[in-house]
Amino acid sequence: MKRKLLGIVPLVTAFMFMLTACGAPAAPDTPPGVTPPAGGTTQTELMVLTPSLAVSFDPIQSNDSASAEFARLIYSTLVLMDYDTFEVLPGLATSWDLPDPQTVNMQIRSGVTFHNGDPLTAHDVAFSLERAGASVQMAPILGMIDTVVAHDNYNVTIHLDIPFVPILRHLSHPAAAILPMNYLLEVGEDEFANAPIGSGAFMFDHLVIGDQQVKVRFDNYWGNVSQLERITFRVVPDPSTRLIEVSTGTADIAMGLAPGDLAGAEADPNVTVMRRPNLGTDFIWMNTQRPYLNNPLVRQAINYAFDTQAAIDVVWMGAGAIAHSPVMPIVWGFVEQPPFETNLDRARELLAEAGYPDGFSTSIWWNAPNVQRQQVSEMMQFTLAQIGIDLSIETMEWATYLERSDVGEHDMMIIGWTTVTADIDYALFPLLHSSNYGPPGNRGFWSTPELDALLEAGRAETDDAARMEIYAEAQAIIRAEAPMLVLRQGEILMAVNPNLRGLELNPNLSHNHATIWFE
Amino acid sequence: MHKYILKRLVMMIPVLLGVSFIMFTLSYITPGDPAQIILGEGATQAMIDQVRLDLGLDDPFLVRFVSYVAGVAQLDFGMSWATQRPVSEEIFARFPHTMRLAGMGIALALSVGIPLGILSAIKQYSIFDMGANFISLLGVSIPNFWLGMMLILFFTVNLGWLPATGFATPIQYIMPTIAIASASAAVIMRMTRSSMLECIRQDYVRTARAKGLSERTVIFRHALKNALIPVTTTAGLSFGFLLGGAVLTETIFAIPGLGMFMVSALFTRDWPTAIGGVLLIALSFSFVNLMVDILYAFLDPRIRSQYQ
Repeated sequence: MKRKLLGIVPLVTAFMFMLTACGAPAAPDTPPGVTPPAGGTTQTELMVLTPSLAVSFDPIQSNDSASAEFARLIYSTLVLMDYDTFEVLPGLATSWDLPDPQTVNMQIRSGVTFHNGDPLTAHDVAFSLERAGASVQMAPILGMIDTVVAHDNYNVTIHLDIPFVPILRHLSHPAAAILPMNYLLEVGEDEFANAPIGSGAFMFDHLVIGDQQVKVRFDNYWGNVSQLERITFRVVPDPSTRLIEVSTGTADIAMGLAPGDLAGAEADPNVTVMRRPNLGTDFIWMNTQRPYLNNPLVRQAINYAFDTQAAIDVVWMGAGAIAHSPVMPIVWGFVEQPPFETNLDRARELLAEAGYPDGFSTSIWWNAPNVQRQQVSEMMQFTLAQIGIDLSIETMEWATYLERSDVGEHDMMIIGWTTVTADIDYALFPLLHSSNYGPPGNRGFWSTPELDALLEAGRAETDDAARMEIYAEAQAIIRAEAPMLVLRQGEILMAVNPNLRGLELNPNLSHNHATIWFE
Repeated sequence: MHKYILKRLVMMIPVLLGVSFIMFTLSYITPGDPAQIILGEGATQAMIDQVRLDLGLDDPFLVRFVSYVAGVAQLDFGMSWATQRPVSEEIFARFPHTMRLAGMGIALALSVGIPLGILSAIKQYSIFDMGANFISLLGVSIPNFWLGMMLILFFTVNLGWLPATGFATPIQYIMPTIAIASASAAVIMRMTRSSMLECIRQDYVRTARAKGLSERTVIFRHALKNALIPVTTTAGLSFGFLLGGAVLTETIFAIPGLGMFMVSALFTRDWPTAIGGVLLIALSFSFVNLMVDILYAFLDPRIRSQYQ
């Protein structure tokens, strides 16, 4: 979820230069290569079907992707991210610099107003970020923010608790939305969450609890005003039903297509399937504190034995891509590692070398009702039987799954992780630093002092190239020790109205629907 | 009669207390930490401890139970841990949908089940009887979520006649109502048939025929009225079952009802919501049972006389 830290200073400096040179920032809300027609579009209402609505309208109350997606439209953030290059682009901040890894100075755009007409100033920025920094829910993303000082209406300085270079990418997360200080203080947090006001492209209109949530266009938006007038998000829990609604023309976007429906949707002329690799990964933790799995040779053997491509083809019907690292190739800091080519003989050799030529018994967990994880467990059972390992399968539902794996009761378990900030720090630090055993993410209960030192150095290194080297070393260690078996890189699968244009899928799943128009 | 109704209403209090106690005990012994579910993966122990403190999860069982019951007595069901909105607001927004779905389901089940049951009974062993038995067997055997999906495939995808989801306009009522009513209609039909068969063989029916009443009067005035008592019981139970068991139908047709919401509350360990929802359903079930008992009095003078 978090992602790049290191190379930000030179990048930022270069950026500021570009900005000054062009005079005006790039229009960040128009995706490259997409130009809406001048005369407007034929359809101005958008119906999006979603498995669930935002849990909270307050951007710091919940870290689910539906809430982030809501916040993306209603609020603005200081910076935006280009999801092709993962460069940080100007948002409410027009320029910035990092005098040291614990400080960010930013200049705030003038002339921006909130939906209620109040001007947006540096005081709103200071208030919002300090509030977000103190939020328990958002601590992994923004908890490093210590104090934020507004020098005047348009200049702020953000001070961090720790040296943390990826901060700019974290500030592009919707949780770092800038809220109207006066309004929020006047109405209180509870009322704010019922009637949220931001400076985003759309205004909150109304909510039908459990059913739908409606937003209308904000005509005084500081960026490009949307071609759409109204966006409705409606809950349809069943993925096949969502697809049917788009196919029959009663909705424009069906989020989260089931892999089993993929072939049918691609053959359907009334539906366009949109796909894009996301920042998520599915992997199997091997608990390195358990017998047998505490041996890296055993963990490598299991990696060599399992055919991940077959799992992608059969379990996910081809959705997603093979991955050899918990860090996705589109995450900043990724360095390609040699893959574990499927090879049962090599796996048997490694087991023999580890002292278990006749195998052993161990177990794998999956959480019901996740069918894909069930199928992976069964494939794993079949695979490991061929190298003499007797694998038993255990299942439980999500809450129990987390609670029991928090304390390391599992041998192997299947889980996912989304590097929402697209910076490698947010993948490796929570998953593999020794301070994060259990609930924060490290359910392999594995790290080494050497890796800890690299991960700490990585988040404090301001030079991009040096930072990349640190992470290359870290990834090589992880590859050799193999505390996990990475199943695949995730993929966004969405069914949309064939006339829909201008939607850029966001790998961290908070898509910006404001750029949509219809032909 | 009034005294009886009042007594029954007062008796709901221990029932609701019992239900809350059971749910509370379950919430206590069920594994899974609500604080962790709220925070999601990536939460540190310090964050989890803070949320547990905020939610009062570390207080002793009795302290939590008593303060919950005290709150409910003042109609305060607490705040949903997942959405941070009042539970009462969340469940009352959803309950009408479930109530409407269950109400329409039971209405359809009765209007199909009773006539078919009567016809089956008076034409016992005919082709019609066998056909009705076959259909009722299908009705109880087909899972309602599957029937729901088949209806969508046929009426929405193939024919394009009906909208796939929603429950706001009459045209949207059709498929969910059929899906949820099928099992109850089958049970009611079977119950009506066997109850009618029993009544038709009674002495008073033979007497009615002997004194020359028309067959229609014999069936409707004499046999059916007596046969309806067990049918009423079944219908009451079915209605309760529909209220609590609408989850799958709600999911398939995207009806924002209470069942679907409670299932997700259980998965996320949002106990205030789950307990509030169960209490509301228990209360409705008690009311339905009370109505059934009152209906007996109208159907059967012997029972009526006992109430007085």
